Amino acid sequence: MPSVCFYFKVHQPFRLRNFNIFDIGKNIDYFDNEKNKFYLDRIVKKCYLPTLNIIEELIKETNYRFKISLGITGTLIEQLSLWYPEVIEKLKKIVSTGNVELTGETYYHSLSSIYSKKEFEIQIKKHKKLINGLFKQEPVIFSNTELIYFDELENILPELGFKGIITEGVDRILEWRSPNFIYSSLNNKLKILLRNYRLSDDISFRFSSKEWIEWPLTAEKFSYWLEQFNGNGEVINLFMDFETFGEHQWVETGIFEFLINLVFEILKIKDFNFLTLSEAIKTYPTRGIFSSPYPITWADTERDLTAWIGNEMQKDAIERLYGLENKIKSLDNKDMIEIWRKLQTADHFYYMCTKWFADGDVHKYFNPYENPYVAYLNFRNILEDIYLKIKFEYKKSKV
Amino acid sequence: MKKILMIGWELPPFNSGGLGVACYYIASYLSKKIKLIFSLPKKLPINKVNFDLIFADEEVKILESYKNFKKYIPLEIFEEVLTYGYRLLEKIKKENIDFDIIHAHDWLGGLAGIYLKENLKKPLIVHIHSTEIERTGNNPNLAIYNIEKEILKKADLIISVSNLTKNIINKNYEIKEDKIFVLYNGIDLNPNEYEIIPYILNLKKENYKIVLFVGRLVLQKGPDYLLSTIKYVTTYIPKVKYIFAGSGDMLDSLIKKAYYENLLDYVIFAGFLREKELWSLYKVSDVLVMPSVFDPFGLVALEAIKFKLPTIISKTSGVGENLNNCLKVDYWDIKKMSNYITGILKYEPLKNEISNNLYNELKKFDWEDRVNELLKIYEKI
Repeated sequence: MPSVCFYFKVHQPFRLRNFNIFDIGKNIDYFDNEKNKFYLDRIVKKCYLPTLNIIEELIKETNYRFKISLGITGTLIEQLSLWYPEVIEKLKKIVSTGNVELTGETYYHSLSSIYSKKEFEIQIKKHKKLINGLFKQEPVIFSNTELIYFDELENILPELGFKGIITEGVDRILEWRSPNFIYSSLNNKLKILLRNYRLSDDISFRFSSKEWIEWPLTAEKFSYWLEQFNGNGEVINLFMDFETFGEHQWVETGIFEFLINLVFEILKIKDFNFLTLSEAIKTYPTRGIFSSPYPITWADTERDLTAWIGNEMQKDAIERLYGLENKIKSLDNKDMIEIWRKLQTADHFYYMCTKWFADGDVHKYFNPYENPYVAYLNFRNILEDIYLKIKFEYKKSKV
Repeated sequence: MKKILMIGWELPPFNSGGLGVACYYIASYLSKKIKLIFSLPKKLPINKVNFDLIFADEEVKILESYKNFKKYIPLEIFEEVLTYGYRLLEKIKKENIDFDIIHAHDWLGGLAGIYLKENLKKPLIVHIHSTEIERTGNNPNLAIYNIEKEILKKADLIISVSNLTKNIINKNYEIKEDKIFVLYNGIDLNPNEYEIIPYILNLKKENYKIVLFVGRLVLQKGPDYLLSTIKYVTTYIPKVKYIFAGSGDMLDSLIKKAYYENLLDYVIFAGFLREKELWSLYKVSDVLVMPSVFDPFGLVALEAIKFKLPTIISKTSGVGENLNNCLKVDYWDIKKMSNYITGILKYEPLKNEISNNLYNELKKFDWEDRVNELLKIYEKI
């Protein structure tokens, strides 16, 4: 009996203000609240509210047979609390149905799993606390930033209460195997759910593409494809950005109608149901080992980290940032640590990406900079300002 | 296969502007693919070209380029332009020269193009490298403007070196857009020999950063805007020299400005430099800034990129339309320009990424490729 697992990543970064060379050393804020509110206004209206309303309705109308999982970052929850508490209330309401599972995340949507194990754990715990406090749920499935996965994670996550993790069903690792089963990590410490990227991208990436041979994609057609897995798959994981609905695919494309129809079509298929991620790992056995010593992600065609740390500017910026960890923490200045963490959000490094692939278009829409060079220059000027602040704080502490 | 008569004005080494350079490369590369005859208004001792040359006049004479014109144009030039077509037609008849398409450059060759078109009933393409509106900052010599307008109106098809110029032709000359095709200029990708000037080499040894400007010192090229960034940039990078390579009527005022603002220590006015010396400046500099108020194309940016220089250009430079990886600013935005210059001089990864990615874009400007695109335009006629 195959199950469909929907997972949506819901995230917004704290975008930076234009910080030029003249701003260094003048005690100017790094974050642009006006810009952040502007983007949030748009995304709440175009995506969050309409999609959450639809999900709420679907849960009711399917007699609680429709289920989803959501990964909501701390940086987004902070912004929603500031400017859209009603979205938080809506989320609470939907989560209280019991049909919505929340995954664990790094609070700041950071690449800390690559750069600092200590920081990685702190951010996961901070996120857990936030989710627990707001939604009274204890996440047991982990969803790393950009679905980063590598073997080492199985030595960290179980101790933090996680039983499973989601990541990309990367062909070069799966080889002949199917992503539509549960796998276990190298030493069996974690269960792994793999994104079916073909089907997921059909919705999130290709849905409105008129050059696509399958356009227009209907719920009937898509559910027919799903039906073909009956007998040779157990979980079909459709993981995508929440912004797919209304933002990457505009309302005019018919994406909302598609979502509604698809849920009913899937329930019509014999033996199909919806499960949340933790239900899925309880329901199905593991069918093999999925292992990658190097980080994989759900990004681009390479499924690696090159969109974030592929060029010299990105590496310089992130290495300098994490290089400050000990100094910043030793200052015992909470505000500065918080700023340092907000700068870790992966988006800042994505904006510096210089490889322009067709599959990068989804992200490009949200790039607040003219080009990757300006993104780096801005970030680098801010780092320069932080260096000055650290020097100043050190002097103060010595006096 | 179609035969082309190309009506030019100047060719290197007897050229004073970019028009001659562009014509030389177009004709050289084109003649490998198609039959081509290139005409000049006067006889010049040019022998190292791989295409057929004809001279409308047997008198040997180097003509001034349009670029050096100020308010008044030497009557002699006007005479040349006005009689070029008549003399060329005589020559063509006498030598029984046969062709299918006339391809004339700028107003200097364009008027002759019209004359030939009307007399021989051949289609005419006019190739615009710059308009009078652009050259004068919208303060045109009306005689030239009117000649240009008539040429553009009568041409069967127009080629412009950028969309910027295309828009000017469309708006200021009231020519329909669908008659105008953009053909970006190219650059010779063969390596250039350079000879580093000892003084400059010394600066590098003393760890000075070098900001480079190459171009005529005239309003259109915006050297004064670059000069204004010095006081900001030196706050962060004290060891910096700005080299202005080029001559022009703004030199006096630039020196005065530098003097009054106490910037003379940071500035080197290198004058007009010949090839080897010019190439050496590209070789040793850290950033090139092209702050043109208006530049139909802007070959200087490509020359810098060829030497792997990170490049900052104004948004009003045509070449930028075909470059994704250079930093673009409004020419008047001194603070942003200073921010970019300082960033490139200060942050090595920024400099490296920009220059490497820009360098990879150069292949778009290979003359081979440019000429192939020109052949496609010929098919439209």
